[in-house]
Amino acid sequence: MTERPLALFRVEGVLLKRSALGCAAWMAARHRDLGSRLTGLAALAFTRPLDAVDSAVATKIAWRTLAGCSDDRLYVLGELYREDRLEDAWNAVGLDLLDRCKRRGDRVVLLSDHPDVALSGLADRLGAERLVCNRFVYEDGKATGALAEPVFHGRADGSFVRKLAAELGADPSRIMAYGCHASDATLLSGVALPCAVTPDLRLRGMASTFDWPIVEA
Amino acid sequence: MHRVNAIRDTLSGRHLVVTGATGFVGKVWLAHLLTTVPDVGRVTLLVRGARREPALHRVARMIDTSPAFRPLRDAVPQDLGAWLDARIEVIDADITRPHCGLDHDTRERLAAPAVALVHIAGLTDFQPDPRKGLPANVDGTRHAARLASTFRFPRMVHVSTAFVAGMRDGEITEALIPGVSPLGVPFDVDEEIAHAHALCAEVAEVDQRIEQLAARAKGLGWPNLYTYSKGLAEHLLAHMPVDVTIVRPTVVECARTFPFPGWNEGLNTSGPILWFCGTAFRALPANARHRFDVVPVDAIARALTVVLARHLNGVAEPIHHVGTSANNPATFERIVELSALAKRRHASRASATVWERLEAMVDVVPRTVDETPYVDPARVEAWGRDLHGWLTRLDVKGRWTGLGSLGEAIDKRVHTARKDLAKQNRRMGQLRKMLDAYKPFLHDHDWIFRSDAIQRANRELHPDDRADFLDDLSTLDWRHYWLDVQYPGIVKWAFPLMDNREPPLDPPSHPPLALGVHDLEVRRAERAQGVA
Repeated sequence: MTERPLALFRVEGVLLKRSALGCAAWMAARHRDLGSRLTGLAALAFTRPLDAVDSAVATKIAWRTLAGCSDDRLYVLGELYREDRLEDAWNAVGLDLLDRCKRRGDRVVLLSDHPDVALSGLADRLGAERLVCNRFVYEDGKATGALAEPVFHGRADGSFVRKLAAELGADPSRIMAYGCHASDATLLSGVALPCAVTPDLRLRGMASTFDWPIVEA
Repeated sequence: MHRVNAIRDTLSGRHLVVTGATGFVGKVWLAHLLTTVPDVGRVTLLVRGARREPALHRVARMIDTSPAFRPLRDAVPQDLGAWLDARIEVIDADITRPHCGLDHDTRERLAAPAVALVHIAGLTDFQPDPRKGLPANVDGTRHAARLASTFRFPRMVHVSTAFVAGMRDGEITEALIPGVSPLGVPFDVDEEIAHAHALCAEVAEVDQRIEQLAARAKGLGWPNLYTYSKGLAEHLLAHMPVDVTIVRPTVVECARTFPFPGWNEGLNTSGPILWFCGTAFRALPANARHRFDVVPVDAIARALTVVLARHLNGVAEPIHHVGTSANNPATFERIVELSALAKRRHASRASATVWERLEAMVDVVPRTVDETPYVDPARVEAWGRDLHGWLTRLDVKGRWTGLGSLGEAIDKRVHTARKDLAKQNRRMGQLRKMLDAYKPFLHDHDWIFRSDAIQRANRELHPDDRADFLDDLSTLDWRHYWLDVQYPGIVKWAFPLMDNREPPLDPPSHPPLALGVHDLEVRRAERAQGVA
């Protein structure tokens, strides 16, 4: 077990002003088959309200719209998505916090419900030790629409944190987490040192209730 | 203990005679050979000169300005002309003529020192005028083989094509049964060649010549005149008095590393396919499951040198396929997908036009002719013809004069539209013809070219040769190759040709490179001193 603190950063909201559902819609609109583009976008229209009820199911449905896409297509779409949508979507507050953690010598782990093809190279770019995100399952070079287990769906909880801590050999009492949406509340409540970063209204209320520190822009 | 000598040791001090050094494969091979084996004894290039430009000047200009020779120019920054004069000799020749157009003295002079003839020359058009294709590919091979047979060591490396396999499917072994066509029809190659020549002489109309001979080729099992002529050449070599080894590349495309990633010359097979993927058409007539056997040109260049060295060492196999379909296949589904993605990537750049961006939103898919067809060039051509006929009826001067100035404007518009439409129809016609010519390769047949011989040769490469001559195609990363090498290479080096523009050449040196002006004996003496 290492003595260095472990800092968990939610990518969506804290570091990037983009949601994984937005990424799924962007990619579904670029499916090879025109019919799949339309059905994919229609399905995604329902996932946003569903996300508030059950994010695990919403995440699975969102990425299922890309079933049938080749690994080549997802690789290229991931690359184009990074260039087109992520380059101007950085959150300065989150990046500043991440820099501070690194300067302090903390171990940094990024948590995202984006697929790996969309965030390829992000961990290296930000100097993080690891990126925990979703991976597509492929058969004969084509995405089945399923995600490889364990699926990260944005509602990481205490058991996820304990498992990750054990895997990384981190001291649970020295784990920090940074989140900004209400859906990050389970993650924040599962660590010893939670922090809300420019939180939405519901998370702000919870942060006040539980006396979590709040970082504003 | 290695079974074969190092390639540099084998070729050091040897004299080679080469045809086709000014073509796509020939350039890359020659540049690679001179760069990696600078101790090669002498390379005599048989090159066809023109009245305006003798062969020597043509080769000098080629080495001076072709991007294929960049690595050589970089490796020999000073006094390149003298360096080349000590190594290469250029002779005005014409392979379509007996003895390749060489006089008796020249043949005598070459006979003693030459150890092998590397025959790369050929016409690679799919449906050329047979009056050009037969002399270049069949007679040229016969003349080259006869020349090689006069050498003290009558050896020849012949560059053919894997598609001499003809209209067959499945695994194609590295073999040739002389006198048996791809469809298993017995034939006499000399009689066949004589018949083809007679047909060329009899039929005055080019299209008819092509049509009649192509029908004959298909009857024997070759899908077009290119594979027919290359096939006949192989059968011809089987009974020539020369020790031949054959290199059969598949579809030769952009260089992977040498002279630099992406280099290409001329319109190769995938150029028009990639161009098609850049149009608004949705379906490419191709069978998604079939393999598209592509090989980078520098892999051919390396393989050719490896085979040549093995031939000189007496261990070469008779036939070497150089391709990817057996060990690292890419299907048309994948190639078309990668092409569409490359177009999408290209269109996402800031420099892309709005039209390019719109076109990139439509991904081309391979479709067999049995599947529900999308709109294809043939249909658009038919619609265009109908519309053109309609406009022609309207485009009668003075038809609208009753409408005054408005009538004049309509007159003008109708006339311009008719002309534009005629131009577009011609373009559609070209596209349809291109797709027809490519159909056997994209749609009809699934070839799997076994390439055991070159793999064995690669396995047995001397450790000193691996860095420069090993090109393991089983490790070719298709995604990287197609997106980062092939597509940008085709856009830069082949697409200009589709628009009747010349791709860029390197600026000539000042003063321009001159060959044949340095005293050969002095240079040889200098080289000998340098080596000592």
